Amino acid sequence: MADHVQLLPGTLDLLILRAVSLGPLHGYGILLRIGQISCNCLLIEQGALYPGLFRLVRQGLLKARWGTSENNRRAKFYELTATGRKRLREETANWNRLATAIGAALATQPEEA
Amino acid sequence: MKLLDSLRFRISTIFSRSQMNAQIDDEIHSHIQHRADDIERTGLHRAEAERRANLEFGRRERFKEECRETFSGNSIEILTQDMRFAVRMLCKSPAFTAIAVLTLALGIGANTAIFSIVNCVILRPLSFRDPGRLVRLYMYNKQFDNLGATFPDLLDWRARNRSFEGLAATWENDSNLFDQNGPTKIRSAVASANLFAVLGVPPLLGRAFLPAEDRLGYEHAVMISYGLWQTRHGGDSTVLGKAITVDGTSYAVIGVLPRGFQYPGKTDVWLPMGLGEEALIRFHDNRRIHAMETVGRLLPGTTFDRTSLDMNVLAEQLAREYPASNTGWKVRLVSLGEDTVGTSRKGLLILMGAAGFVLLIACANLASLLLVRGSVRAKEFAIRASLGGSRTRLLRQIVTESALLGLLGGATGAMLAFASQAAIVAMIPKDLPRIDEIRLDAHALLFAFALALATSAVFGIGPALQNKRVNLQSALKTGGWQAVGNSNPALRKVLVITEVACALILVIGATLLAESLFRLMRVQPGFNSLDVITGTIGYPDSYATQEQKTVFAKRVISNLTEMPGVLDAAGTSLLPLYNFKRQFSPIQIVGHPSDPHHEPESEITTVTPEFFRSMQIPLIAGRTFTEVDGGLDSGPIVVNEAAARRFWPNQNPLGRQVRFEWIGTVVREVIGVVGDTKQTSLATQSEPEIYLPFYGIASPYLTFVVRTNANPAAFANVLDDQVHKVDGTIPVYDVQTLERLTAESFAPNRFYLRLISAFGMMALGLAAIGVYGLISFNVVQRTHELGVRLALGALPGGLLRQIAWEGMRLTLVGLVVGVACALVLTRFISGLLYGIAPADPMTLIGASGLLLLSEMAACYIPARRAMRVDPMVALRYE
Repeated sequence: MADHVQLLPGTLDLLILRAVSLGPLHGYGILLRIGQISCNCLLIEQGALYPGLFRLVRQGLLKARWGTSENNRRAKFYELTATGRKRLREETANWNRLATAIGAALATQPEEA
Repeated sequence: MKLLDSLRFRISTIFSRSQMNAQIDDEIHSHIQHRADDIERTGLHRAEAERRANLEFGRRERFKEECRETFSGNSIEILTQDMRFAVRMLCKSPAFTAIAVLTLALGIGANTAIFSIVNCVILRPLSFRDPGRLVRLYMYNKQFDNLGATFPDLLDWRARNRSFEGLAATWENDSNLFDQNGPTKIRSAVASANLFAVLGVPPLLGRAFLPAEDRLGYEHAVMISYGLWQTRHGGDSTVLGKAITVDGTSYAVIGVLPRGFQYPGKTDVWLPMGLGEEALIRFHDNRRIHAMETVGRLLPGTTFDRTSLDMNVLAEQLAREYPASNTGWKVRLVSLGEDTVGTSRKGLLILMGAAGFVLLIACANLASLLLVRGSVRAKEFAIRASLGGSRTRLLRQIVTESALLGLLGGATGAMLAFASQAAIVAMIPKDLPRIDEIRLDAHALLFAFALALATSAVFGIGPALQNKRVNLQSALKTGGWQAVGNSNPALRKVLVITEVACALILVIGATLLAESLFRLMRVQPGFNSLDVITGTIGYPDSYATQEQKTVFAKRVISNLTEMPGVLDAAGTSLLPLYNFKRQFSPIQIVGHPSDPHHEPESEITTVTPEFFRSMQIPLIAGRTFTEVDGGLDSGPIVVNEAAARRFWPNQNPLGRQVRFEWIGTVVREVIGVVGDTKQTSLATQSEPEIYLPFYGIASPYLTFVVRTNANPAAFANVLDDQVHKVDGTIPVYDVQTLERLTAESFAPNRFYLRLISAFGMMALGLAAIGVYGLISFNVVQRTHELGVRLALGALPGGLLRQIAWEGMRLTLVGLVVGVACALVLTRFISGLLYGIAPADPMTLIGASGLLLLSEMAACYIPARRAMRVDPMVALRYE
């Protein structure tokens, strides 16, 4: 657990969108998918996922419907809406720019020596 | 489309709340089952797997709450829910709610009532077009102030000024109206043709005056007010062209002015400037008669100051051209708004300030109440927080509650203001301008609610923020009253001190005003106002000669004297203390060197021989008039003591001579000296007054004075009948008892006294509630401690003193602060005081004593309760 990283505020939404972009998933599935695509190194409290999901549905980025899971249980499945897809593209680009910039900034060597 | 969806979504969330809860539960359940499935696969029992899954999920209730919150956003749902809860909370503690709402209502009601007056009188713009550009022009020199222009000056101003779009002139009169409904007394104004264009108010019906009607040989045309049109003509549009008789001359109605139009005063009819050839010629020629009340509209782009400068340059030019009449005369500009409000502004602002203090006390009380309530509810909030209520959510709940309190308080306050409106307006002295415009309008209501919401928001959120600091653990652990321990005692003490200080200021103000009124009422007016009825007539133009006026007056007076119950009857041109613009006339005292800069002047009153006897004004020396005294060519005069002292100090005034330029060059001899009467008000010194015989120099108005044996008000009809028996076309107006007339001269004092003592009373009550609240809260909070101390043998009396002392200490500090503030603030009401200094020590002591007593009572009641604490009950309290 020690090598788990706390999420930056606001990044959970981006991860959810990314996870769901590969196909409809239920909540627990999304959590597993995020773990899978992030090499299990992010620490996400399970319950914290749900306010995020509700928020994205509320913003019209996700849509939800009830269905049956692979375990043969009733579950609510989430998928991207067109707006959600567009938002994912924009946010991904934003994130990459931010990460590059911060990376570059941190990589510079101190000038005085 | 999207909007519609969102709306539908929002609405659906409101109505399917329980459904939504079930869905969230379902979803979380599904999540946990899926997780448990995975854990089970590692070889654990199902039950253990589910337990772990549950644990891993985290703070379930918290996440549920967050889900619900995101779902409903910040919207109506939370609000209705908070509202519902707030209503429930308020209903659960009716005493708290009642006190809080009532406190707010008093503060807001008082302020709204006064604000609605201030708004109508001062703030609301006059109902003319672009009233900000309208100014009144006054002429003044070293001796006279605030006079109108002369007619030739007006014409010169019009021709030569560079600042005005137009200059219009009026002069006002009391007039007799005679139409199909009989005679009545009205206010008339002679108006220049451009008046309505300058004010920017076109007539509602018909036309305004034509320029030709400004001049001699004018049409006999009249414009009437909306009020007169409604009351005398039933609002009938065929009124145009109808004839009405004003002061004996017939005029054709040419126009009706819109509702609410008032200029120059509460005018009923406007007559053309060409009116009255004799008067007009006099005004035309004479550069000495300052009769034209002038109003002008500034040209766009000109400033007030530059215009003032321009006009005075013009005044200097005129002084060079007409040195005899215009030397030393300057022009003063006053904005029309300021001119209308005049001296009332200060009094109203004082009232607003007093009402503000009441609100301040109310706010302090409310803050105190909410602080206590906040700390009492610390445990409730701690529980809610630990169950997953977010801080913002809890804060929002508190704000909703105080907003609800605010709305309730505001509504009750507005109702109070509405209920008291009529009573307050009825008390307002008649000289306050625009009284009939006063109503509780949308502005005042808006003011009330803005005030209520602002108050409750500030004083609701303050304690709420403080509440945020409450340590969850300690609040839950200690529980009950102990949690209340830190309800910010310092802040509450400051609040109590503020309340006491504010209340003291108001009580001192009210006491000073009351003391002044009592002193005023004891002032001797110089005549006996008991059992006298008075009424006034104006002579119509048909009474042109002195002979006609004399005959009329003599017949009415002798008829009146013969009526049963009438002891005496007389006539005068002007009653003492009659609410009328008094004027001093220049006189020349024979034997004194004449000094053009310090002409002696005196009030001039014409009276019939019976006047001094009827009024019971004492004769000091010489004799009064007889029936034969009179005549324009010669005639005696009677002076009051003030005139005798001023004009002939240390000499015998009898036999001395006086000349009045305005009624010829005749020299008149002093035949008697009578006692002084109060003229403009009871509070002012008597000025020199010279009496002329009415039967020699009749005034255009005649006021009858009828002394009766009892109940003078019952003689109103008698007076009316006797006048109408002699001439049925002359209306008698202002019929009232002399006692009432005298009382009217202190009407403003009474008005301010009543309102400020009402505020003082509220303040006293509110401050007492504040101290009571603090002490009883302390007692409840310390029940446990008190129980222990009583059990250990403390004497109840000692405890009582100790607890009461806490409140009294704060009261004493408040009194010191209050006295200090009062010493500064009472100077502002010194204009309303009579015969008492603003810093009157007896008043300060008395008011402080009153406050001390009421606070003592407020401390004693809860302290006694503390004394009766049963140690056993107290120790078992938790």
